[in-house]
Amino acid sequence: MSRPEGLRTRYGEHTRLLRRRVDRLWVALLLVAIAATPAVLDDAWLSVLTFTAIAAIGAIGLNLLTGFTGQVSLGHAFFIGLGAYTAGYLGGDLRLPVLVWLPAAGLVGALVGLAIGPFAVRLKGIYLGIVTLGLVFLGEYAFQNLRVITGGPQGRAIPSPRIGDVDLADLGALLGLDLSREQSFFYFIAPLLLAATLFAKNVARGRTGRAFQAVRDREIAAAVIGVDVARYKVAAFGLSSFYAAASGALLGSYVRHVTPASFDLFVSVQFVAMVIVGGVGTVYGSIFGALFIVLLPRVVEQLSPILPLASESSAGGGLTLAVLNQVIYGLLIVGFLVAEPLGLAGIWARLRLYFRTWPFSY
Amino acid sequence: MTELLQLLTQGIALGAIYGLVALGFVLIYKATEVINFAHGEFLLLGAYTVYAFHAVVGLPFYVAAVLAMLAMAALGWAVERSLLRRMIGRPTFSVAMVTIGLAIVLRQVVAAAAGYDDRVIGDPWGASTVTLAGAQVNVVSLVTVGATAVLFAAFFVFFRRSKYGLAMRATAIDHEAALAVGIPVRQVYALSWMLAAATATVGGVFLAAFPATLSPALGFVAFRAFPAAIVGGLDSPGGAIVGGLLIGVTEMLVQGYQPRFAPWLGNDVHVVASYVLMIAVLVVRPYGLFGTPKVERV
Amino acid sequence: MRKALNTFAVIVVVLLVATACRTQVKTAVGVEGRTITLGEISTLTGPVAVIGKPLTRGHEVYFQYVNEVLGGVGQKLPKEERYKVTLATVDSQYRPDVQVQQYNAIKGKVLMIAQSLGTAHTNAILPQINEDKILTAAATLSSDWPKQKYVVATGAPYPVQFINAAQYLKDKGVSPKVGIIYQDDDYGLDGVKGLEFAAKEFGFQILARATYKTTDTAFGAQVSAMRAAGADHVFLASTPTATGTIMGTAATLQYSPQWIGLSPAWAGALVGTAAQPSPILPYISQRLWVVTDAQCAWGDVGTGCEGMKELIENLKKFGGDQPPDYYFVFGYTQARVVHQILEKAVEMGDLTREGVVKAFESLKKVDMGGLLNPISYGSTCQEKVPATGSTIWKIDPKQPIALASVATVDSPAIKRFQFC
Repeated sequence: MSRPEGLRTRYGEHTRLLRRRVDRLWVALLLVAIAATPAVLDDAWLSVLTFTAIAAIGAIGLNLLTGFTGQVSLGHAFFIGLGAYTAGYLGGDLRLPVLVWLPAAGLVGALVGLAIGPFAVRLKGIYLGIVTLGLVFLGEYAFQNLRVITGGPQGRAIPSPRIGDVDLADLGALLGLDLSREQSFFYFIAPLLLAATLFAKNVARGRTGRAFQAVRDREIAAAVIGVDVARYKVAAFGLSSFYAAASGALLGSYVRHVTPASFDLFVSVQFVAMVIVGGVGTVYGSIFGALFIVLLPRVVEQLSPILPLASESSAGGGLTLAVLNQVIYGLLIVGFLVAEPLGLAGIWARLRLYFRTWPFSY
Repeated sequence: MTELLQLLTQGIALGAIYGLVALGFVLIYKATEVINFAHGEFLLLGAYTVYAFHAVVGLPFYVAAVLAMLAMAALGWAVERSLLRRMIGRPTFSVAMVTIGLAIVLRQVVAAAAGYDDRVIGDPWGASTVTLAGAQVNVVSLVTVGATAVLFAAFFVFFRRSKYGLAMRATAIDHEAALAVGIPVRQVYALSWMLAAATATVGGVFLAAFPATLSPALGFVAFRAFPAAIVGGLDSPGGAIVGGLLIGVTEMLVQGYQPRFAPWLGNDVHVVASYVLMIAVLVVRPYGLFGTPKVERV
Repeated sequence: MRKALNTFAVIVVVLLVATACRTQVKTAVGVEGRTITLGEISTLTGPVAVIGKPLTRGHEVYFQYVNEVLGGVGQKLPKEERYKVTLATVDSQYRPDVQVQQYNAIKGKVLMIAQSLGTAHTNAILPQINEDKILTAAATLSSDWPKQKYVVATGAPYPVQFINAAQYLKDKGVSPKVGIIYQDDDYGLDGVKGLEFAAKEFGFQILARATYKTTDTAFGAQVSAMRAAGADHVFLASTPTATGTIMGTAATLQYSPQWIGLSPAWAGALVGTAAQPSPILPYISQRLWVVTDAQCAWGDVGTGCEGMKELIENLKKFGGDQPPDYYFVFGYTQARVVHQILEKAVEMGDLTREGVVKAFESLKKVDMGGLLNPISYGSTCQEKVPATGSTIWKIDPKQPIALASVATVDSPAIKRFQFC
């Protein structure tokens, strides 16, 4: 006798990662697809995917804070920058391997996040968002002025991910294969994204995640049932900052040169957009969101021949492709929020439901 | 001494502008609890609308300014009607994000329509200056301070005495209770957006007037004026002005003296000084100097 | 009969050789059939588009001229075999991270990057440029470019402009009290570098330095600092919007030093229009100089300014509504340089990325047509001598870009400046 779809009788079933046997198949397929991607796509698209993966790690972090714990943060760019410069200092100036600087960058981010946490406990809602916005400006100031570490306005170089003599962004040399940097870096970043996703998923479905959600839904109610609100808020800040800084370290290592201008408010806004467009309070939604935001300009460019452009020349007046690109970006953010509060994850869930119950739509 | 006086007068002039910008944030937040991240773009659009009516159409400056205020009020109404009304009851950061999206669109549209060159807005005050107690001051700065004072007084009376002002205050305190006693909350929301957009026109004109120029970068001032709104308290119009003056004077004094007396602090300390001040105020008073604390119920 | 056969064989061989000669230009990525694709990473949105758009327009107009009037690249080839140029233009939004994304998006289809705008932005893609060995024309006047193998610099670096301005003061017998207001980025710092060098060379002191941030709207403190220090010559490494406000503030404070701005500090729009002149116009026509690497004034079509004549004709033909603009000139000249590199590559029979780099390295002198000061290229840093000449201009609203020449300077001190 089979139970109806979706009926769960134990907590364990609710929190299980792969709820049905068929899910395992999907995961296996996904892994094969990821492994095959560098062979199928050209460097330009691989680069888009690498940026997506790096952004997704940061977005998952922000989603743990904003989506799961309900704490607004516009300060993500600061932590991204913190991670990038830590990676540059440890990996470049001190010549430490990636196995050291990547976790270290995350930890530095987490420590700063934990230090800021107590402010967060005192502030609510939009006031918190604004203090974290102040963080971005403080960060820009620090990045401009701590020249010994950051190189000042000219920026600094960030090393490739290396272990000893092995450059993980140039695996081809090690394996004797003809791998481009893009292909190699993809193989480096994809497992990291998987690990980051899995860890976040585990946090979210466990005790901590439930406490986060209780804080988000009703702070006072959470306190009443025994959740230490202050502790969990600070923990969420630390965790989110860890993700952000790790993402920043990877970004720096991929791009290899960063300047303070790469970590301004716009970056924070993009991460918030990823979380919202992807789906607030979902882990995989953050990946969708990152993909969407990174991919969007490319898609608009591909569509340019059929777009109604006022100006043939890309440098002419009026509505050019570059302008249209950003207008569409803005409109999509607005449109998504107004029309689809659950984001891409909501659409995805509805699609799944549709196919699962097909041909009987609800 | 003259230098201090000079810096103070300039700080006040800058603070008056920040206050005007902060007032725009407050007007919307007070009634709707939304932070309008597109306010910088409202300033930009307002200034360019005045420019369009004055320099392109050829209307007299004051006529152009009034028409632009009306046009901007219409835009504020349209934004509220078409976007923000659909967002009522959603989480604050979702709503804030809608305004960010709007900002991105408006910024591009203004620049695409007007180009990136610096322009002369053509205000009647020009480059004239007066000497006040040994300090040279732009007439524009005096007008700015005057206009800020008049606007503030007008809003003070409006909130205390007029029907709509009272309705706005009631809505700010409790939407549902306001609805229950028959206040047209939707109209109040629309009204607050219209007022903020019209105020932004005034701010935009002063930002683009001598000694500055009109350029698409004008909207970025919003984030410089942001701490002013917070320091004063996001729901206090009077606080916005106090916050503006505080931030403006702080910024100017830091900029004037820090490079000489504390050069080891590095460059651009004045930019962070206002944010440091803001964070300091928030740690002591989480709702700003004049803001109202929220009571939360289970 | 045999003779006839022999003649026939000779003809066949000659034809074969001729055919071989015709198709002997080696091509690879970025050249498809008879079309060369060049990458343009510019800033087309945001405040810096005031520079990026006219600059890119300069490229577009010049290459349209190459395609339609010259028939394409390869002047020695028969007309129908010349290479047409298309541009793959992308927007960096003046963000280093976007610059990298855009570079990755176009690098697979372009022969070279004909424009990379911004110093920090070009630095951001530099690791990849070196790896991909792709020649890149930098639309920035940083003094670091001669060190880079794959970067083509055009124009006089920012330090050169300030050194020449200081030389001009020295020649006039002025011993200046100097101050500087600069934007807190690499552009500003490059200006400071030049001024510090000039201070050492010519024995003056920099009495006051002040920075500003691009979001600043008030400049009272910076101007007051200059006045308090008693500076009578204040150098400006700013952008036009900031320059305008600084001039206005100085006028208000009745502080009248000689202001000396770098080329990015100026835009013709600062004088306003005939109907609505800027309130700062009287002040700046008296007190502001701008130093640029332009040689001939806009519209000067005399001897030595053949490039200007060509530019004005082409602007009329292909430019649409593009008004006179310094950055248009810069972009146009840069495109001219890129064209000469490509011509050389075709001449050398190698239109691959390596071939283009070789062509660039073997191209010692390029013809600037009098548009910008001359520059030398080569394969080593020492051989790549940036332009050393500058022109000092004063503001004159009657001129097309509101600039009237004061003097041209080519300081001997620049030889001692360390570019390498």
